[in-house]
Amino acid sequence: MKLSVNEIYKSFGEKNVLKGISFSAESGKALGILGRNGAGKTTLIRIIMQVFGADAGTVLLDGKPINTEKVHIGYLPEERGLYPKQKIMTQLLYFAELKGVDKKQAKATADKYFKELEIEQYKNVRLDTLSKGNQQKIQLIAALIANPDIIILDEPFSGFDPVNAGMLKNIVKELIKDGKMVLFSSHQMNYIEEFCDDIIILNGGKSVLDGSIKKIKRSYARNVLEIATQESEKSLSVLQNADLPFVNKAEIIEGTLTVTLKGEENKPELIKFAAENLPDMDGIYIKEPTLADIFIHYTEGSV
Amino acid sequence: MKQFSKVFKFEFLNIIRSKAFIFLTLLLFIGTTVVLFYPRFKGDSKAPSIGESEPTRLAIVDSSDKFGEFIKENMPDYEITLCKTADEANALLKEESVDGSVVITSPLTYTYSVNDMGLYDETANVISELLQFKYRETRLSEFGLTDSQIAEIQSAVAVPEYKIVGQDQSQSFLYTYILLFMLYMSVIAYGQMIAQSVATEKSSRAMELLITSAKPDSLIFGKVLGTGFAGLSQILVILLWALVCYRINAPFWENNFFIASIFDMPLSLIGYTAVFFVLGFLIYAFLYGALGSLASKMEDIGTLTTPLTFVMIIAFMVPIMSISTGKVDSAIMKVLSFIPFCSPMAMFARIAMSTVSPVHIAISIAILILSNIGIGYIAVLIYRMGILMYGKPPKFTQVLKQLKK
Repeated sequence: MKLSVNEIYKSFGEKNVLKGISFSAESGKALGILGRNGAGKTTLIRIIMQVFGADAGTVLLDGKPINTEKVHIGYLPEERGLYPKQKIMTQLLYFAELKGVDKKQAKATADKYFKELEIEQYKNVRLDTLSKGNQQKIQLIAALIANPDIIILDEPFSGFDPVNAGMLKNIVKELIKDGKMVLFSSHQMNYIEEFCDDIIILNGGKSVLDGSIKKIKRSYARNVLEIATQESEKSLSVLQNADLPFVNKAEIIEGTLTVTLKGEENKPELIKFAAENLPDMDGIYIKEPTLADIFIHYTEGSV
Repeated sequence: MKQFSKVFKFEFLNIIRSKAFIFLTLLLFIGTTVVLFYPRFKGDSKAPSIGESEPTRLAIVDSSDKFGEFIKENMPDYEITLCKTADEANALLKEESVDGSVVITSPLTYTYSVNDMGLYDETANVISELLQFKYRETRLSEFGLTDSQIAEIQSAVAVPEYKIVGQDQSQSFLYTYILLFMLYMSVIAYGQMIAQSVATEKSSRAMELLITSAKPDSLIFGKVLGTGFAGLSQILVILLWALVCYRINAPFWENNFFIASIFDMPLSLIGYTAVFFVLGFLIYAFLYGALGSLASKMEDIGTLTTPLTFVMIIAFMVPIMSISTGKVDSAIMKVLSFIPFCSPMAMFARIAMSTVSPVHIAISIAILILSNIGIGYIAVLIYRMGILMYGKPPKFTQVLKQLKK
């Protein structure tokens, strides 16, 4: 399946929240939706889920307008919420039935995840007796119980300890492997990089960047190199004393010797110089921007 | 429709499984049983009374010596002390050895002094009656009538024979009162429950999942009707149980006019009760649901629902006061019979306690049905807007502005 979102506009009163957002996502892949707080992510998600309509623009699934009565969308909202005073299985089945899923089937799906998330003992207790992490797991089951084709996860890792985060990671990987379409919104960039091939960055109601993470990183100038060495200080002074014409700047950033060249074409010259002159060098690498760097670059200063 | 039935079932089961509901039902159950079985175990058919009261103590000052003994003879329920002077009586009153004093100044005038005037103080009436009797007796004998002629005149009583063409208000008063009160209580209780339940879904953010799983129309209709159905079943079960208890104990209640009148309700009225009860309940319940959706915290509910609760109180108080004073067909009651939020109580009270033309009843019901549809529609609009809104509850004018869009 292919989801394509075209030129979505939405305003609430005077406030223009979305100003022409377009992107597409495919089954079997995860798309990272990034944006600062208030960038319009939740509004976008609600439009995709048909909670309300867009002022202009279309949401198409395989070329046809999306119909949430036919295709199931699983949703893990950022604002976690279920019925605190209800028995867990009762409310999970209720949400599944609302989506039109057969009760037996829903129960089987729920059972599977209860086992996988190691919380089988909590099926029939009230939600508010559970710890935060376990409530989070229930929330995840609620998102997956209808066996959805499209899964929207909004900050799924917040509140999880590393062990639970590992469990969740496995489930997300499994979903992608099973050919589900995953839309993944998070501020924890390492998770985005781990799961998503493609990202879209929202800022000021527009998508300021979209495409594959690899390509985006490639598009940055490749003229910054990191030199791995045990003798950073000594190496730095060697470089500075040599006063090489193709080096713009040499400095130590967070303990790593980092050299900015005049241009990409000067790489061989630096490598040659380093191999011959620097003491105890382990290697030279291109310094790629992190996703966080890219995010800050595109969103700093405005919302 | 499928979603609606799921929501309906979920909400209905939620309520009837709740501790509060079970507790209240049990309480009503026990209460009904105790009251209706009471005479069977008491062994006589008298209605329960609240203990025996002590006799009233009265001081009487009669300088003419003509009335004192006569009054004492004819007021056996009173503990009467005859005094010589008013001062003596006042002293007794002051030290509270008597509850009141009567100072007779002439055959037809007297002063009745009392420390605290009771709500049902009949003393003065009785004294007046006795003095008038004595006065007529004296005057008639002065005209030369014989004692037997005087006795005949004094004992003459006009006996009415009742022929009631319309409704006997003394018959219908109690059950009308009870039914109005039940409607009032269930709207207040279950209406608040609906508002709270919507607000809880919002504050616990279960709403985030609900709105992405179901249509808002299904959510509010399912909740309002599911809750309403739970409330109605509770009332129905209690009423049926009361009827069963009454039938079992019918012989013991024979002489109790009030209780018997409740269970002698005409059949047609049961139909009207059902119609006005359901429509009256729903029109308020829709609005309580809509108002609940505007709250983000439980604390907001009070402020939001107070105006509606006030409307309900007025719609309840006017008919209650009208039936208590016997003026069910007053101009205001006639007007209220056609106003949607008031007609369930006003029109019902009039049907039960007076004679209303069938055309008027039909018009009133038609208006109520149309208003229910209209209010249901508006409630969905408010709900749709409210459930996505967080923060301070909007002002009424803001809601209207949003609705226009």
